[in-house]
Amino acid sequence: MSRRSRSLLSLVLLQLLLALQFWQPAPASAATLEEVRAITATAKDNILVLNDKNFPKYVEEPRDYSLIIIFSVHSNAFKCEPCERFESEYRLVTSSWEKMGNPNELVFAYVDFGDGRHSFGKMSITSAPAGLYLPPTLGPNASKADPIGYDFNRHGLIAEQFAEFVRKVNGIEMTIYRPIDWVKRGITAAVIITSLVAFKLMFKHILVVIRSVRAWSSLTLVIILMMTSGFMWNQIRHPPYMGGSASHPEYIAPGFQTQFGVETQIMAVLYAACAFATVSLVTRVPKIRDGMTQRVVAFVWLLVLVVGYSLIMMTFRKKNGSYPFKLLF
Amino acid sequence: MLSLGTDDQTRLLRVAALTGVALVAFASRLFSVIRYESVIHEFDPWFNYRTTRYLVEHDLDSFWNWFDERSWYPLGRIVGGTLYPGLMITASALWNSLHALGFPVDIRNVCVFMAPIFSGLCAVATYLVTKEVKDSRAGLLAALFIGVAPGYISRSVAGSYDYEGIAIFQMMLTFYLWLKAVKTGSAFFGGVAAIAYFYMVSTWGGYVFLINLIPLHVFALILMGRFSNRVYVAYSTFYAIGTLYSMQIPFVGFQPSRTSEHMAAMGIFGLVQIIAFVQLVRSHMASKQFQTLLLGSVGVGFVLAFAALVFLTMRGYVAPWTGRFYSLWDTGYAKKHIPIIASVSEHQPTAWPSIFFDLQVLTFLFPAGVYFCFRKLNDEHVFIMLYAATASYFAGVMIRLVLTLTPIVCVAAGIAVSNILDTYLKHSPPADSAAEKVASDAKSAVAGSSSDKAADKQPAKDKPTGVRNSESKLVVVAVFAYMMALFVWHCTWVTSNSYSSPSIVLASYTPDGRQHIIDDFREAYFWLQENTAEDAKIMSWWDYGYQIAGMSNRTVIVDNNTWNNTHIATVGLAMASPEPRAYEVMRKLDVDYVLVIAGAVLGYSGDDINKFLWMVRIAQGVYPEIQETDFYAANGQYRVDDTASKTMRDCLMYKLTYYRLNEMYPDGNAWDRVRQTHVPAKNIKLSTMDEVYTSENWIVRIYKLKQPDNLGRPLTDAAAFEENRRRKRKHVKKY
Repeated sequence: MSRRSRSLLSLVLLQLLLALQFWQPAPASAATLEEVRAITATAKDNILVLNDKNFPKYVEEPRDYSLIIIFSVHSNAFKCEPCERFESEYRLVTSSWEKMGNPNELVFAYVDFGDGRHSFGKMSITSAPAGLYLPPTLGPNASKADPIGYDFNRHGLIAEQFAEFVRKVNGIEMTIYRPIDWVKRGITAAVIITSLVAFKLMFKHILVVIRSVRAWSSLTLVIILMMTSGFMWNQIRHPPYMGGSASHPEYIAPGFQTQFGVETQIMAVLYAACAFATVSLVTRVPKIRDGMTQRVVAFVWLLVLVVGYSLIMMTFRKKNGSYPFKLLF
Repeated sequence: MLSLGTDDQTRLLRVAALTGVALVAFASRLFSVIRYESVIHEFDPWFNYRTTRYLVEHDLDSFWNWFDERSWYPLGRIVGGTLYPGLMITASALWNSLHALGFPVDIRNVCVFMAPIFSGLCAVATYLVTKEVKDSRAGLLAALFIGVAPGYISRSVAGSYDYEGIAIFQMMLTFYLWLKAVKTGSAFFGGVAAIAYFYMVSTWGGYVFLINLIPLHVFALILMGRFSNRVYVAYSTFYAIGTLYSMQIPFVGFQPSRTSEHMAAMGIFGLVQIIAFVQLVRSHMASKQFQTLLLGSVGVGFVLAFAALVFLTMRGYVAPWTGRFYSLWDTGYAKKHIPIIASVSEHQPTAWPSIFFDLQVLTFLFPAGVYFCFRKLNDEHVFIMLYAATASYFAGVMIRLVLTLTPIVCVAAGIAVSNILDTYLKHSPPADSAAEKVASDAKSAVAGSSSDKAADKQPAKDKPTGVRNSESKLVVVAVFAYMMALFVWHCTWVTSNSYSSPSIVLASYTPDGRQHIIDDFREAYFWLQENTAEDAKIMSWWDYGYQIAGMSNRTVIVDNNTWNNTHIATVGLAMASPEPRAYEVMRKLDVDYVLVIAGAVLGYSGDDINKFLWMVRIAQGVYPEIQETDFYAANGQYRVDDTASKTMRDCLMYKLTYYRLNEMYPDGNAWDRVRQTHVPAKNIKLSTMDEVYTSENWIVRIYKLKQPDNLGRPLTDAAAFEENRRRKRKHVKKY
């Protein structure tokens, strides 16, 4: 556990307080592949939409098709950002399957928590999004194997990764047909052409920038400040921007090996303030000719430095409770 | 001293200060030796120690040809061709010269003190680099910083006998000589830099950073219009000699001409030649058109060469970036494709507290110092800038690379602080030699003794600029002196508390404050050495491979040199499978004993159950029969108590860890102190192996595999049959 943070995608945990024993589904007759295909052919994106009413009919009754079911949450009560991101990717997978001419008896289905609370409970799904593969229970490929889950934490929300899962459980190589985003491509092309033209026209000025110390120095300093404040950690781990609630926001994550997004910004600003004060003490103060002003300015910069550094150490003590040193507070 | 001139006095003081810094750097790394004993630490150092011992006992020739059959059974390992030999050769050279001088020092002690000695030398090298960039005053400060900075101490305490301990010194030495070569344009310094580079290549795989940074420096100089004959001479000699030398290391071989990591250096070498040629031709040509044509053809040639490189890479003639380096750019790569790299905790990205912990006050002095470099931009300052930017990126991506960042941080911080002291300690000109003295005064100010001397100094009245009032001088210097003192305290505290644990010997404190040493690892390894057959094969997770080979001198299946993912995955498969399947796998691997680390009794959190998910993931990558999701409890969490999944409770690792644990506690109260949960009270039955050894605090547990059943039954059936019979017999006796 210690080596990996589990909440990579910050899945929404659902409290499923279900009274399943009172739930008696209406008896339904078994569905066949043709029947289901007829539904999906008219449905949007080749998806069989399930809810508590038709779940027994299409999933629990003996069936001659295999199923991939996505359990998702699409309501305002639970905010599930990964669900929404995955849904569009899932539509890519299903429509690609249709473009391939539905090569075998696999059917893609979808349950929303709002319409399918009990279905979630039946498959003991406690977090969303969740994906399950169920082998057919009739026909030549019938099997009694357990459902196979897709691990969103490990494989992510990308259609290609999900297609790889489909290949693993179903055996058919999928190609994802991503619709070509002409607007995006047009913009890219325009940007490239414009920048090339600009490069040609303004070559002299660009050369000045490339050869200017100021450009290089600001770039380097920004990189340094960002990297030493844990910018890459945020890029890789995607932490929440800040913690707590709206009324009691928390800016500093407790714990030495973790941080909030905002911490990086706080630390970068503090480091920059201290560094700037140090530089100013050397570059600005000696140039002041008036003795009194010089004194005051020197003390002001020193104060900025000491207060900034004290704040840094204070923040650090919040992360590491046993840290014994402090400057001012 | 009075008879010496001021220059000599300055030099003497400087040498004395530098020696003092080197001694401090040495001494502050000795906590572990004083607190525990002179012992090799952790994991990798045990392999280095074992090979060094081999080198000392045999000669260099047999070292190159050594085939180690004690590791990676049944594959073995060609040691001479698969390691960086610099560390071992340095240690054995040191040992030999000590013996030649008549000091009969044990090789273990040479190895233990290797890193502290080279840290002292690294302080000197850092001094030299900083001196090239600014002056000797900044150099002394930078030397002090690198001497005590935890970012470097973390990898170089006494007993941490590893590549990095000496490689940072080599890196700084190479950088110094490179800067010298660029500044002077001398082929001599270029050649010496190449030799230093060779020494670095022979020691640490991190040389790739160096062989990309130096070409990057050259390339930036070209872009900024700073290309000169000096740069041409320096780089051409450095690259040509350095590459030829580096190819002499068997482990490196033809990589410099065949892998993408080295292609930048080669491309810049070509580019430098072309540019020099163009400049030469141009100086002999008058026609403007011809010049344009020439420049155009050079541009086309460059593009063609790049296309050729891409083509060769695609056709497989040039190896693409290896996963280890590639994962630095594409940070999600390792997690998806090479779990074995992602599993190592020091390959995780760095949160800001870790950087502050390792650098403290230097963190903000670092950008300040880099800024000062920009104010008078020379070729060497461009180098500092590039080093600072790239190293901070790498340090952000991987915790262990804070190590390569630390030297440049110290250099920049030295420049920053010395600029402050230059401004606020300055007294009447000519300031040159006196300022040196001031710098050494500043060093004593760092120690916290006297900063009030600043008040005695008279401000330079004839100068239009400068700080003219003594209060602000006094206060600024005092504040900085206090911050430096705080830094030194911080470093000592960090070193003492976090970086000085040998990790094979653990310490705990009894309620009355006495130290209690927990020595389970060595106890168990010694047991293995004394109680198992000479050729017994021990299976454990790869973390412990080097230690078992080094301390027990027994054959291991996998070890910390993680070169064969499949083999490691097979061990993971055995650990993650139910007993009968695991037995089958282990029989195929010819395993005699299984060793697991269990922290449940003591609360040792670095145990195998905590690492277990990585074993599962690595095994899953090769053997799809293992599925990570099966090991989570129904609620999706990783549990070991009653809610743990059946797969989890049936797997070998779980059984071996908790076998008989409940006998220690009253009924149903077996408790895991690492996971802080109850452990199922049901007795765990083992049918394919016997527990043969468990260390004092139950950290190390060793099991021996049973021989296959005489009647050819599966061992589980045989065990069930035996148990049945026993029960029946009891039954009969009763009546």
